[in-house]
Parts: sequence; C-alpha cells; structure tokens
Amino acid sequence: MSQRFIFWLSMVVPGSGHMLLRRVRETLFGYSLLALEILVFIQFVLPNFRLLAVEQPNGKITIGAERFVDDSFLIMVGSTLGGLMLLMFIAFHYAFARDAKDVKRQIDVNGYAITFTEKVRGLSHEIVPNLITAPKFILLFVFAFLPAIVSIIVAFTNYKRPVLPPAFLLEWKGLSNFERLFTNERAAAAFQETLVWTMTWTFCASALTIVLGTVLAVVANNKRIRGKKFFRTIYILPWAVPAFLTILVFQLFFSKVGGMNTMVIPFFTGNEYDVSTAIGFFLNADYAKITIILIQAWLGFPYVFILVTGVLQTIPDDLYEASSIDGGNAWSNFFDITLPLILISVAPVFITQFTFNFNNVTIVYMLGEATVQTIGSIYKPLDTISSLGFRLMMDAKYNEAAVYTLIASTVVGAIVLYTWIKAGAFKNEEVM
Amino acid sequence: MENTMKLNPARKTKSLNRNFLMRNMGLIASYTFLIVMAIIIIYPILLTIMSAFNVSNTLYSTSFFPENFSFTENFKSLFNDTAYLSWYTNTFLLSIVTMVLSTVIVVVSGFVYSRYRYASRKSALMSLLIIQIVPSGSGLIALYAMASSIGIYSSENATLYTYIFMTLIYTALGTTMNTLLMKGYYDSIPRDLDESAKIDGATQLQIFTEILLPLVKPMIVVIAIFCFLGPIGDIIMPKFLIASMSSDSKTLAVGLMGLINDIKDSNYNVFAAGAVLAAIPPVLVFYKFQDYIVGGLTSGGVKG
Amino acid sequence: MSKISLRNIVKKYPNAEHCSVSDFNLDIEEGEFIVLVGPSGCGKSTTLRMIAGLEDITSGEFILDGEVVNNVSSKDRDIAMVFQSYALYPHMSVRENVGYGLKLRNYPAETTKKQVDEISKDLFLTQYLERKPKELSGGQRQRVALGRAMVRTPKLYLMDEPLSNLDAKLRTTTRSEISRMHRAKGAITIYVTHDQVEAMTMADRIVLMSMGEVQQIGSPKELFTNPKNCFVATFMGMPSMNLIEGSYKAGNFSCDSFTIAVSDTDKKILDDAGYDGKSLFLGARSSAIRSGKKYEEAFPNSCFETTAMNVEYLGDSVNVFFNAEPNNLFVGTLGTGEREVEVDEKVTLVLDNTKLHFFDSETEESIKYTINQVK
Ligand SMILES: Nc1ncnc2c1ncn2[C@@H]1O[C@H](COP(=O)(O)OP(=O)(O)O)[C@@H](O)[C@H]1O
Ligand SMILES: [Mg+2]
Repeated sequence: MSQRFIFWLSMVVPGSGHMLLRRVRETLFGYSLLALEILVFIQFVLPNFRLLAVEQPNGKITIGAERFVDDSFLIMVGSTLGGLMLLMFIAFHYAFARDAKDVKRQIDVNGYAITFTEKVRGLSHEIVPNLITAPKFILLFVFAFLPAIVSIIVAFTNYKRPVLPPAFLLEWKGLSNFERLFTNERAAAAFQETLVWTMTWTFCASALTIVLGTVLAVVANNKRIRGKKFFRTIYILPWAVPAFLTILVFQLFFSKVGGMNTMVIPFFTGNEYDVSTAIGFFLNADYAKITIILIQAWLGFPYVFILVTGVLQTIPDDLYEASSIDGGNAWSNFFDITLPLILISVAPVFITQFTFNFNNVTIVYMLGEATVQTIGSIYKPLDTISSLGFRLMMDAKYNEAAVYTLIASTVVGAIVLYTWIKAGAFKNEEVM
Repeated sequence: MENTMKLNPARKTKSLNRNFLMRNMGLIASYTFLIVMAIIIIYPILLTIMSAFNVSNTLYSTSFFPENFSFTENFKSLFNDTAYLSWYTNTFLLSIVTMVLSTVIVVVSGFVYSRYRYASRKSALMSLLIIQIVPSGSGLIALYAMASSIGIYSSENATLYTYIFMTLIYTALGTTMNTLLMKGYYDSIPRDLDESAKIDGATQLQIFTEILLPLVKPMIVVIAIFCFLGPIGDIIMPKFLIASMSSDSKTLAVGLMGLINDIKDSNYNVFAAGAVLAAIPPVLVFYKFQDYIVGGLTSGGVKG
Repeated sequence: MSKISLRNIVKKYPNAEHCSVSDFNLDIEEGEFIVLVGPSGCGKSTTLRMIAGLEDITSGEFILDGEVVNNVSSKDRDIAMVFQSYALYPHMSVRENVGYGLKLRNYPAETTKKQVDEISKDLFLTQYLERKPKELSGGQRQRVALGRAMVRTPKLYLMDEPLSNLDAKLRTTTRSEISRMHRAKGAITIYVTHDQVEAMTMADRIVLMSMGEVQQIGSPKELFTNPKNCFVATFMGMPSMNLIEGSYKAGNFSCDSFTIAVSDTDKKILDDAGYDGKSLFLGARSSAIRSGKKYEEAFPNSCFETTAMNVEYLGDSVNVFFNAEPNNLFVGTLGTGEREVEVDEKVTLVLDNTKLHFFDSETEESIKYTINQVK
C-alpha cells in the first residue's frame, strides 16, 4: 500500500484512503462529502448540464428544451455554477488525497500520525482569516466574477432582442458573432474604423492628459511662482466635480446654442452670434473627435497634476544644491534631476491612464449621444470598442455587445498583466 | 580655494544681469500659462453657475452674466417640474450605503491580509489583483439578465430591489483595488506595535480597534471618499439597469442626462441649476479632505 | 524547581532552510538578570520572541512556574517587553502609552494614574506625559518604552536591544538605570544585546550564542576568565583576546614570531591532556601583555622583542598593536608607568604566563575549561 496508491484512491473516493489507514473521523468526513457531492450533482449540476445544449427538431442547438418552461439564461448561469462546483469538488478531493498521503507518510516515518483533533487545531488559524474575508469573496464572486464569465458565454449565443428568455430559447451560435466582424464587409470596415479611432482616442487622450498635468505641475511648482495654493485649488476642480456633470455641461457648451458659439467665438472673432453659422461641434465627426479628446484632458489632468506635484515636493533640495555645486544651472537641473524623477513616477500612470481611457465608456457614450450616426452605418463617429459594447447593450443586442466587451477586456487584461509581469509584481512579496 | 571664492559672486551677478530679462520673461510666460489654464477650468463652471440663476425663454444666452436674474426660479421649476428631489435622495442614499459597506469590508479585509499569515493569503491577494483588471462594465449583461431572471424588475418593489442590487455591485467593485491600497497602508505600520500591544494584554480585536484603526484613519478617509464618489459619478450602471424605470427611480446622472437630451422640453437653465446642486456635496467633500486624498494618492497610488 | 525553564527549544522558520535556534536549554532562578548576547543574526531575538509568545516554538518546552506554556498566548503569559524600536503607539500620549497595559488589565483609572505618575517620576518623564511620542527625543522615547514595561509588575521582563538606538553616553546612563530598576523590581529580566560590554556590566548570568547555538552560559566573570572555546574567548572582552596558532613542546609554546615558556600549572595540564608536541591555539588577553623591567624580571622566560605597528592612546593606558606571525595582529594594553611606546619602535614585551588560555586547534575548545570549572 504505497503513498501514491492512498493518494489516488482518496482522489477518486475521498475518505477511502483514510479508511485504509483506520482514521475514523476523516473517513466519515470524506464519505459525507462524497454523499453531498453526489446529491448536489444529481439535484443541481446534472439538470443544468442536460439542458445546456438541446438539439431541436429543426436542427438548432438551444439552451433549454421548451419555451416558457426553461429559462435559457438561468440554465447558463446554473451550468457555469455547476462547472465551478465540479472544480471545487476536485479541489476537495485533492485536499483529502494530500492529507491521506501525508498521514501515510507520517505513519511510515514515525509509526504514528497527528490526530484529527490536533490537525483541526492546527487549521484554526487558517480558518479565521478565511472566514473574515469570506463575505467579500462571496460579493466578488456573485457580482464580478460570475457575471464576467456568463457575459463571455453570451458572446456565443443569439441573446438579442427579441430573443429574450424565458419567452424564447437561446441558441448556440458558435464563433459566428466574432466572424461577422471580419467577414461581413460592412461590419468589418466599421470595426476597423472603430479600432483605429479607439487607439487614437486612447493614446491622444492619455498623452494629452499626462503632458498637460505634468507641465502644469512643473510650472506651478517653480519656486518663483506665487499663489501655488490658489492655482492648486482651481486645478483640482475638474476632479472634484463628478465627471458626468462636467460632460453634460460641455455637451451643452459645445452645442450650436452653447457658450462656445454664443460667447467664446464671438469674443475672439468679434462677430455677432448667429445660429445659422454656429458650429455644432458634435455634429461633425472630426470636430467631435478633437473636442472629446480636449474635454477628457480637461477632466483627467488634475490627477496627474497632483501626482507630479507630490513627486516634485519629495525631491529634496540638497539634490539641487549638490547639482549646482557640480556646476548645474536651472536647465540642467530640470533635465537631469526633475524630469527623470517625474518620468519614473509617471510611467505607471501611463498604463492606468491608457486602460482607463480605453475603458472609458462614460464620456464616449454620453457625448456620443450628442453626435449623429453616419448614414448607413451602425456606428457613431465617437464609438470606441468599449462604448460600442455598452451602446449595443442598451439596444438589447446582448450577444454583439458581449463580443465587444470580451475584446476590450482581453486587450486591457493583456496589457495590464504584461506590465505587471514585467514589473515583477507577482514575485515581489511587498506588492502582495 | 581663494580663487573660486573671489570668482563666484562676480560670475553670479554677471549671469544674473544677462539673464534678468530672459528669466522674467520666463516667469511672465509661466504666469500667463497658469492663468489661461485657470480660466479654461473656471469658465465653463462659472458659466453653469451663472445660467443656474438666469431665467430666459430663448434657447441660448449670449451674455456671461444672467440677463434675467432670479435666485430661485430655476430651482423651483427643477423641484416642481422634474423628479429632481428623488433623484437626489436616490443617488446619495445609494452612495452612502455603498460607502459604508465597502469601507467596512475594505478596512477589515485589509487588516487580515496585512496581519494574518495563512495558506490561502497569497492566492486571495492574487485573485483580487486579477479581478481588478476586468473592466467593471464587462459583467453588466449578465448582471442585468440575472436581475430580470430572479424577478427584480417584475416585483412590486422593483426600484428598491434594483437599488439594493446596484449597491451590492458597487460594493463588490469598490473592494478590489481599495483592499490592496488599504493593505499596503496597514503594511506601513510596524508589526512591533501589534506585538507590543499583545504583550500589554490586548486581544486581536483590541489591537485592531485600539492600535491599528486610529493609525490607518487617513487611508480610511480616502477610501470612504472614493467609495462615496464612485456611485455618484457613475452613469453606466444606472443607465443600463434603471433606464426603463419611472422618472422617480432615476439617479442624478441618469435624470440630468435625460433632462439635457430631451430636446422638446429642454431648459438648459434648469439643468444648470440641477448640476450646481448636484455638484455641491462632492465638491465640498473633496475640498474638505483634499489633503487626505493627495496623501493617499501619493502614498499608494504611485505604487499600484 | 526553577522559575523558568527552557528545554531543548528549537526554532525553524517555515520558509527558512536552517534552524534559527537549535537546542536551547536554560534554567532561570527567581530575580536573575539574564543577558542573551551574540553577534547579530545568531538567534537572540528569536529566542526572546519565543519566550514572549510572539513566535511559535518549533519543538521543546518553555516552562513557566512549573507549567508548560508553549501554547499560552502572549497576553496571558504575564510578561512585559521593551522593543528595540520602542514600538510606542504613535497616536497615544506618553501617559496613555505607559498606562495602556494597566488599562487593558482593567485597573481602576485612579490606580493607573498613580502608577503612571510614579514611574514617570522615576524616569524623569513627568513633564512629557501629555506629549505624543513623535515630540520626544530618542532618549525620552526609550525611557517611555522602559516605563511602559516597568509600570507593571509581571513575572518576566524581556528587553530586545533596548539601548542600541541611543548614543554612547545615554547608553551608559540608561544601562545603570535598567540595572537599578531590576534590583528594585526583583523580577526576572531577560535582556538581549549584541554588545558584550552591556552583557558584562549588567548580567547575573550571560548566555552567549552563535549561529543559533548556545556557546556558554555563566556569570560574566566565568565567561571572561574561563571561556569554553575560542568564540567565547574572542567575543568577551575589549579589545578581544589575542589568538595565535603555534606548537607546544616540553613546556614551551612557539609560533613563528616568538617562543615562550608556559607556567608550571599550565605545563602540567597540557602534558596531562596529551598536547606535548601538538599544535594548539594560545590565547592571551591584551591585559596579559606587558612591558617594562618589572615584568621582564617576573617572567624572564616569556619575553620577546617586536616592533609596534600602531599605538592607540586611551588616556590612562595605550593599546599597542604588533605583528605576530602567522597573520595575526596582537594587541597589548600597557598601563601608565609602563614604557611609552611609539610607532615603529622596537619594544620588548612580556607575556604574563599565569593568565594564558589554550585551545585545541581542531575543536577550538578550551583545554583548561573543565579543570578551571572544577576549581
Ligand atoms: N521571520 C523570519 N523568517 C525567517 N528567518 C528569520 C526570521 N526572523 C529571523 N530569521 C532568521 O533567524 C536568524 C536569527 O535571527 P534573530 O533572532 O533576529 O537574530 P539576532 O540574534 O540578531 O536577534 C537569522 O539568520 C535570521 O535571518
Ligand atoms: Mg535581534
């Protein structure tokens, strides 16, 4: 009876390894677990799995067998849960197998093994922290993890108005939702256009925000500038006011009847305001694109401003003193000391800004509502991948929305993961 | 040694003279830049405040200052003609409950991750990091479908249930990054203090409440503010989850957006009044705790 | 029955390869002042933290008042501890810091106040009672840390390098302060330091550790006069003991630089132990190295001539450094009235051969240790 035999036996039937070792309580525990698993499997997992793919007489593969009786969506969620439960069962079996093997090893080496009571006492300091953090993980599981998984699955169905469960059964569509983006001529062209604009938007908005915030911080923190507090108070206003308000204000401001046309342009050109010649900034695609980048810079720069100000204030004066003893002047001070130090701290901000703007549905969607759709296109000029996902969702085209959301999440996730791995975030105990 | 001492002041004055004008031009340019930027920031905000007090029948106004000043007119119609008051209470209830829930969760779990050493700690932290990457909007489809499948929308108390649902979503989303921030802050407090208190006779709970909580207060404030401002500023979730509901059930964001996009009875001045009122609490909170936010940002924000 | 017993204590950190403390045994009697001393990283803090209940004991027994308390939590062990970092609660005033332990033990506010006032008077903290720790100087903070421990009367005081963050002068005064408090309280104190001077001056008994193992336990005098091995010999005493490898033959010890006769008692011991014709380490404290006519006459067979390489003036004495092959720097401490030595000067030095130590060259154990112990 080798350790390996005990391990695999317990892996298949938890508790049986312990039974061979004459450990009564673990055996009982293991068998009751198995009983519970079988119960859950029969009562919950199996019914869901069985309805997950049903072939209808007309050859279509649907989720659920009968309209109004089976709710395709609940089956989808139930199957996801069922799949996760199976994974959990495997983890339980593995824990039992490990323990049985360990008991066997202890008996082989010492002739005896620690008792069940001692084992439980040893585990108590594992149980407490897990219990305290359990509510958070339950919340995260139900409201973040599970929905994200289910949303991915939606991308492979025909979940889209009017096909709404329980009145209709959802149908598996395989990869066709994705294929459309590349094969359907119109869709492909529009997708490409959106992709280009998404990249442009993400890059320009992030870059402008960072440059503006950094330059302002450097200028405002010059020793010879007075009224730093005053400027700081004003510059963080855009951060303090909720963004949706500002976005709405700007939507108005740049409209044909908004302040830009009625006051600012007349002030600079000297012409009277006239509705007929007024510029609708969101009615022209190019104007709209430039305007939205400018507005995002307006909204986003205070964060960078504060961050860089903080960095500037932590640069000790003796660094400059040391440099002037070495013969440095104001310019070399800036380029040799200030700028490198700022760049070090701004580098990670670029990633956060980048992902933020890539995902920034709020401004794109809200200002997008003010734009007009290009004739014959399903896209609006300001739509990015993420905002499109949201807009399609609002139009109840859930499967198409899921495709876009999936693409967007994958891109962002890949970028963030890549930068973390490069920065060694997973190795460094401190970060953890 | 002597040479340099003699040379230095002379060189300094000379270079000062030569650069005097140039340097001041730099300064003037700096001030101009700062002031222009300040105007660009302030102007739209002031304009909104001004129009909140302007009563006009025309669609537009060409003057910065109210042509037809009224202190209360727009606010009156805001409260009478729209469901502004319920938007307002909805929104602030939502964000206050979210704030309390997530702050409690974050403060407690940050403590656990910083102070307990247990087998699954690392994987717990790792999963927080990973979940945090997933954009918050990506699960929305499933959340909506879940809500309708479990009958939230068809129930009598649809509004209440939807708000509870949203609160839980915001709470869940607010606990990932913030927990990591909070844990980092706990980590900066030496464990010697815990041990010292332990020897002084404190229980684990007393160490938490009497030693650590007072010390992490600045970070608690920051996280509470973030969690408070999050739901107020969000339009995505409510737009999607409560779009089809009655006007009374809306949040400020959805309500005001509807006000401005509904061309027929657009009254921009009424919108402006609503915007001003909505902005006051967050702006006050923000300015009151400015130093905390800046501190929290520069302590933890740069790292993560 | 001793008050405290540590039996075969072993500590292995979960992620560490080696044991940080291996097989630590010690019995402590009522009222003793024990100093754990050793180079940094040798496991002193680990030992102390196991006693405090801040670290689990991997194996072995910690017995307090006849009971095994391995699994009793810190707060129930009735101990007080002074940390190297002081670990003052930053958000509490000095008064609250000092009184916190009493408050947690539900002392009435009156008593707490009285006791805090008393101890602060003792430690000259009265005028700082309402301040926060960050408004105090290093020395004051240290006294607060001390006061926080001293305000209670536990079974056991633990101190982990409490003086290492102070300047030299404060260290000396606080040292005697701690000794005074210990005498007043009479409770067992276990004190950790890497500084042998603190160990020598304060301890009733010293536990000298190295690499997680106890090297020798004994009174300061025992460790100084009868070190068990080379490590103890060189660790205790300043400047540290001179060690030189050489060979012993027929009452003479010779190395590359000199040959000297050992004393008659030493000769008997070495011969009996079978070291005739073998190599061994000779140990001589700098105080055993003298110069001048008087000594030359007293020890005519253990004189040798050398060149002073460096001289350190210490006020009432000088340290003379000279070369002794193979590769050893010898140091002698010459008192006033002896010859004044200059650098590069040729000088005749005398080894006081009644004060020599001999160590086995393989095991580095002292050859005279057991014999001296019996005496
Ligand atoms: N938490 C820990 N985990 C792993 N190893 C540790 C830990 N603390 C101390 N050690 C190791 O144990 C040894 C003894 O440390 P310590 O008791 O702190 O020494 P010191 O005598 O300087 O107080 C050192 O080698 C140290 O690296
Ligand atoms: Mg130490």
